[in-house]
Amino acid sequence: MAIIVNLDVMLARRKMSLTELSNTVGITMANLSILKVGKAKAIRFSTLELICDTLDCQPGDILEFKP
Amino acid sequence: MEKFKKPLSIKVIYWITVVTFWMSVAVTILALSVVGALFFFDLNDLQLHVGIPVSVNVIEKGTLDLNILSNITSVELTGMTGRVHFIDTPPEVGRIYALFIILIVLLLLYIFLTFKRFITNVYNGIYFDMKNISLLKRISYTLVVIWIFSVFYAYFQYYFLAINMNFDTVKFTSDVQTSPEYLLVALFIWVLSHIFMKGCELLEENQLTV
Repeated sequence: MAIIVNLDVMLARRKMSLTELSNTVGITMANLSILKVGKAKAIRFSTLELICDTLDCQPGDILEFKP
Repeated sequence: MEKFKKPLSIKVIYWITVVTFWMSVAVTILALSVVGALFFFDLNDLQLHVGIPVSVNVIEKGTLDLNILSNITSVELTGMTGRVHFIDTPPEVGRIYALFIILIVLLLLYIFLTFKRFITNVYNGIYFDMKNISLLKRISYTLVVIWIFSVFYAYFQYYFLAINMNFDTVKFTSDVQTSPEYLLVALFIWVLSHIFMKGCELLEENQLTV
């Protein structure tokens, strides 16, 4: 897929683990792992909002389009 | 995790399928034992009845007496399909029909078994799964095989029996009746399997939506 998820990059920049993010945003580890490894087929606006809010970033920092 | 609550309709069809399946297994074993005996023993007093899916041309005049009508209506019987009773069936003929019976019974049992596996999956809450799609496709393809078999059987009956039988008042026509309903049901189930395939895709998409 041409959309790349850079969640691991943002987590590294914020020095935050996936478990911490999971606890803060209230999304299961399983779902966050799906997102992190790029297996996700879609992301809800509400999820994106929570992640952006927690990591203090823009959606473009997490999602990237590579044709 | 929320416990899966089975709808009543699924429970009803599941139990009907299970009970009917085991009953049909018992009947099949019994039937195959009897039919199989034809290959090993010459049963001289075998009274075989076989369906003739060929139209019969008859012209028989009669009357129709209905309570709602004041007069008796004259009617004419112009066509029908029927069955043939072999009085003291020759063993060779018995064996030919035994082969047909074995084949059709096994095909029907296979469909029944496949449907039972499908309905068991549904009963256990597994709806949109590749296994179910595969089972539905198998049922569909087997129904097509049964349809081909029914066409073959109909023409066999025509060339083997109908044109070689002589009666005083009735005459067989060349109108061989096949069973297109099998093909229609097969098509319906095949379409259903594609709907399930779409459902499977949607389920996967839903599960991979974060």
